[in-house]
Amino acid sequence: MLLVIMPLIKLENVSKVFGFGDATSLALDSINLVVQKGEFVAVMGPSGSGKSTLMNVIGLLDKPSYGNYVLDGKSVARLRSNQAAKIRRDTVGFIFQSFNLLNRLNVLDNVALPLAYRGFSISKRTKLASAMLSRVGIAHREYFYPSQLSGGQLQSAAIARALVNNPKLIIADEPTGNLDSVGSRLIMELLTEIHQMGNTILFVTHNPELTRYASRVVYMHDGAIVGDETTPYGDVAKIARKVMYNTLHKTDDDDYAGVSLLMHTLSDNLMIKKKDKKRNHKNNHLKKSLKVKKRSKQ
Amino acid sequence: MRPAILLGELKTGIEVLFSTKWRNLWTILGIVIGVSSVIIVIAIGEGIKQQINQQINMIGKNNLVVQPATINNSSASNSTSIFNLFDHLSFLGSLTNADVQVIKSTSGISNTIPLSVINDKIVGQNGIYKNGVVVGSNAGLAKLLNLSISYGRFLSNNSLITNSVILGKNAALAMFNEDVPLGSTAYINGQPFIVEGILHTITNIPLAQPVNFNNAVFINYNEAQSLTNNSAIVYEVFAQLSHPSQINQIRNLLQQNLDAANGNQRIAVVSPATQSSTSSKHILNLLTQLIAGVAAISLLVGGIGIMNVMLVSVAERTHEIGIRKAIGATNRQIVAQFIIEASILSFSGGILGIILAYAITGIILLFTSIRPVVDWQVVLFASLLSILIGIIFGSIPAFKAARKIPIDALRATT
Ligand SMILES: Nc1ncnc2c1ncn2[C@@H]1O[C@H](COP(=O)(O)OP(=O)(O)O)[C@@H](O)[C@H]1O
Ligand SMILES: [Mg+2]
Repeated sequence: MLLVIMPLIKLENVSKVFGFGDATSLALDSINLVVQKGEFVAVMGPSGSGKSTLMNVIGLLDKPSYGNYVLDGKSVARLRSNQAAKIRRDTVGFIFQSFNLLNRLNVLDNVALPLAYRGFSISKRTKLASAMLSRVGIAHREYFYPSQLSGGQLQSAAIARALVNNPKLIIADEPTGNLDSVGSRLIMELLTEIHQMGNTILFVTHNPELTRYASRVVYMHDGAIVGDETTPYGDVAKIARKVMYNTLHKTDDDDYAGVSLLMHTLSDNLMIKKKDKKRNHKNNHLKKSLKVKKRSKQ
Repeated sequence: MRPAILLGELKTGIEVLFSTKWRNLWTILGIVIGVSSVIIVIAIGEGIKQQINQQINMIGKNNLVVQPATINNSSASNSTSIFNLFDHLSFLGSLTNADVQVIKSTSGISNTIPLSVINDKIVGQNGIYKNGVVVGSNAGLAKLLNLSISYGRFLSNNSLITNSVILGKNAALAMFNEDVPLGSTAYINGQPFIVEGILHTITNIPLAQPVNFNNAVFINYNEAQSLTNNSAIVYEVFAQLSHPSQINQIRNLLQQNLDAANGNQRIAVVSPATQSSTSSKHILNLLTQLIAGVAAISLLVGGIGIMNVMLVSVAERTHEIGIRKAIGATNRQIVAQFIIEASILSFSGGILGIILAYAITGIILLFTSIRPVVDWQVVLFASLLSILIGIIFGSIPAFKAARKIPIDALRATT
């Protein structure tokens, strides 16, 4: 018997063009991507490769210029902004690199805000927000303002806010980008917990280490998906690992800032600085082994 | 829009209001002035209306009042402008002695009390009394208007008693050095008159007559006419009826007689005392128009100020709008947020305006004879008006905020 499972996300030939005339840039280039419910997908790729644009399109913050997009069974590529807002509210929880909490509201009110937009009563949303803050481990910071919290705590609060509406899909664009290693681990473990409870998570990262948490890794380059692998929990994804271990030099800075080593590897000459030539040379054989789909030149 | 959301937005609105501080104070100044002038105008108008009604009750519901047509026919007639508002007699039309005789001879009228003024020089012990007005009337006036006599007596109907003058309180003080100048001589147009009575200060009808009775000197109507060769300006005539139940018939008859006497022109208008248009109502209308204009302009200025502050606020909070949209705010909810903020801003201006209005009406009450009446309905109206201005002028910035594309707003640095 064939069991057909409707995917949560289905992108067909999705492209996104910014600007017009000579200044046009193709941020997404005919993306085809299917994500099933319950997947925990890491998206990797060099800076400017279109990861954020992809996340924004999937999360209905932005519209694709071309192509089809089916989210949870609904075609959503050409929604009016109000319809998009409602589906976004009910389906997607966002986690941003820069946390994006409202500084004027305390943590509890920040977390309760999505519920307010859904029309919950004050008592109900306070209760739910409070419970969610306990779940992410910062119940004791309910009445603190964002300026009074550490990065890890801020991101925990942001995760609580993303979760409070019980969304089917969590999108996290470099959630650990502004965090130290302790904070990063805290956040990734939190996301893992959420994933284990059945949520679908898409997260962008530069750090190959973090692919340990993912069930699947998607690699992007120049607006296209150039690699896609499933990976067991606990292991660094194969492609990402090759990048890590074949790199001569790995500085603390790289680690600390979460700057991707992968980006040096995956990118064409564009990204490579002259003084890194040696490293680049070492990496060349790796590139071939990646079986990176070379996009045909038009 | 469910109340739960409104409450949340109310809270942010108030926080925003206090976080932008002084800039907002200037913004709401227009609203403060507009709202307070609306309340003050209505309070003064209401106060004066009540005083007029008191006076009408005093005059008696069953009397007829004859007035020059120009007063009745014009609410804001071309002959009257704000500039000669207090030049109290120039804008009034007038009746003639002939009209008074017609009224007297109409059947059903038992008593006729004319009010006339003459512009002649009044000279007392202290020389010319510049602020004075000579009023020609008769004995009935004191009873009709409930004028109370401080010393002596009022005018008499006894034709043997001639050349008496009765002084208003201020006139008595200004013209003579004595406390009670009874028996002294005053000169009107060079003619000697004997002071036979002095009135108490009149407080309850400050604007109900075009003449301030406190500054007036009263002589007999007939003498006023003979002093001026029958050209004294008659600005009002009260007609008391022998059979009050026939007021309508008598009114029609009197009107016919007057029209006939004036060559079938409506020069004089007869109305029941309760409907009479007093000159104070006329002045009140002009004042109301003037200040309503001021109020409208300041409310407009205030509204534009609020729109500006909200536009700046929307621009400064683009990133916040992006966040709100990303976590599920619909366009309507963003619109609601900014309109609520604008309304809070304008409502706080309204509250300050109400406080200011109470302060100013208090001062008016203390230092003038006007008794302003602030109704709670008016205060409610002013509050709603200020909120309405917030909604109207806040809607452009609010729609501007709501139209922002979420991802562009999120990328903004502010
Ligand atoms: N709003 C925009 N206007 C113009 N170009 C944009 C805009 N957003 C992204 N881009 C371009 O699209 C490409 C992909 O950007 P982005 O998705 O942010 O990459 P990543 O997140 O992988 O670093 C880049 O070349 C970037 O310059
Ligand atoms: Mg990015």
